[in-house]
Amino acid sequence: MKKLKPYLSTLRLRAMLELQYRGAALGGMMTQLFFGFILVFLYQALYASGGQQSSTLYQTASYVWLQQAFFRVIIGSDGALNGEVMSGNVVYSLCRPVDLYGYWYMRAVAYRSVGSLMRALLMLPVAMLLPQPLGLMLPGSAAGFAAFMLSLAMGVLVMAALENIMSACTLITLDYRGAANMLGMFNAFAAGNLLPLTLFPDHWQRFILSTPFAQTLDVPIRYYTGQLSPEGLGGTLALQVFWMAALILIGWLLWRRALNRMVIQGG
Amino acid sequence: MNAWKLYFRSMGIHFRSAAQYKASMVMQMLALFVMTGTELAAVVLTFQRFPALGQWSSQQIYFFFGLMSFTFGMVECFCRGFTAFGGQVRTGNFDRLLLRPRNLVLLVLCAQMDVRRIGSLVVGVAALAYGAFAAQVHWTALKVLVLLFALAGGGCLILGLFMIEATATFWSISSIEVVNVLTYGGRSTCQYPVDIYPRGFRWIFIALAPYGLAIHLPAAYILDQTMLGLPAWTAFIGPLAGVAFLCLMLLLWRRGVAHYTSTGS
Repeated sequence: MKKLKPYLSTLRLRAMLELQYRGAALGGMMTQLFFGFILVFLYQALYASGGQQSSTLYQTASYVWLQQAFFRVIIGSDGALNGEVMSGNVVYSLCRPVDLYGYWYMRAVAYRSVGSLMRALLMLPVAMLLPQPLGLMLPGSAAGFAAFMLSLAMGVLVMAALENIMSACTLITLDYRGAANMLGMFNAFAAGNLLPLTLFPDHWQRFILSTPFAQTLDVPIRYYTGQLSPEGLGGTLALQVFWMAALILIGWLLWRRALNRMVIQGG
Repeated sequence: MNAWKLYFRSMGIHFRSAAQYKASMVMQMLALFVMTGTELAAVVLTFQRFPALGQWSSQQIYFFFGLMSFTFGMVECFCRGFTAFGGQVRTGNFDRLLLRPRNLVLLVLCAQMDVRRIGSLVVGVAALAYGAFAAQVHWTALKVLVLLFALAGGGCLILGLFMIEATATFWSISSIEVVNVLTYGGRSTCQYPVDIYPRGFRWIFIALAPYGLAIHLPAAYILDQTMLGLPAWTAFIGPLAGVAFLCLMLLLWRRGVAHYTSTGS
């Protein structure tokens, strides 16, 4: 327990820091709301254009609102590591008596969980007030909502592990704009931010549901909208734990390799 | 040296300076290529599930997507002086431009170029060309002319929108995120024709930021369809809305420059 303490402190401190940016959260929310409206209107027009759909417009609209409200779970990063690597300040972090991977992992968890919870609490009530097929539905059932919350919490842990793999690219290439940016964009796509994963072709769904990208935000949302039944929660959590462990292992190995060969920039 | 020559020479210099780091340049272009390509992939996947979007077929939507990506990418590539103007005032670099004996807007345009955007321009052209081909557009001289109008008018409009943000920095409003709704939000909204959106919402992109007039009317003309119940000849007038918008913003910019006081040092 004593060994864990510095990491838990990091988590707590970063979480408190996130809470300081309430103004930014409000500003960001307006933009997210607008993008939410664009998408909801787009799907309304698409649903009106025919075709047989396996999900209703109401479900898709709810999916969009939850993606917009929790977008911070899958998009963006606090950027501090990039700055440290490019300026050479990472050398101070290297001096800390903690495992660097664990330190940045906790920062990522705090950034993604507190940042998005704040935004979601502001935005979801607004989305719920919208008229029926365009707004956010109430969760399918109490069990569905509980499954949503549990799998979302796990999803944040999976995403933080994914993020640290992207960060390893920054450590190796010393420039986040190339590889890490591309991975970030791919992640947004594969996690359902550009197009809900529920609207991807039906025969891809089984594969999609097994990828780590879907574990972050897509699977939790499906529990909320009732597209997954809460009985499957055990399987989902097991898969999320598996991906979290695997991604942490890969990330940790990449970080060790990168740190061993690291050249400190600056002077 | 006349204005165009100066501008093209500056762009040449920026390109050559970026090309000094070849691997980095190629990598960043590739990143933008993948990013815009992913957006296109999302549109393509959408039409695996839905047969059409309002009155438009999937191929026609690819054409709209390509036209928007290309126009927006052009502005981001060749007018970076304005799309990334923020730092200029804060760092005091803007003072240096004021000292030069040329038109200020020209100097700002010459100051920067974003070579990476070539990556997204490629995707834009590919979507545009494939969309036009698959939607069986019969090209005529008038249609080519209208396409050029749309690129020019749309470019003016987008540049004008970015100028709002640039001009606001003179009054040191630190960030006006609201404008993002019209620039990047406009890009996302108007990669689809405006007539698919509900009536009230449409007006934002017809009257306030006239993407609908500058880009969509010409595109509808090229695709042999009508939009918003307007006659075909309006496709030739629509892009003027973008030019008018830019003129308005240039006036605002002039007032901003007159109001400017240096941050010093």
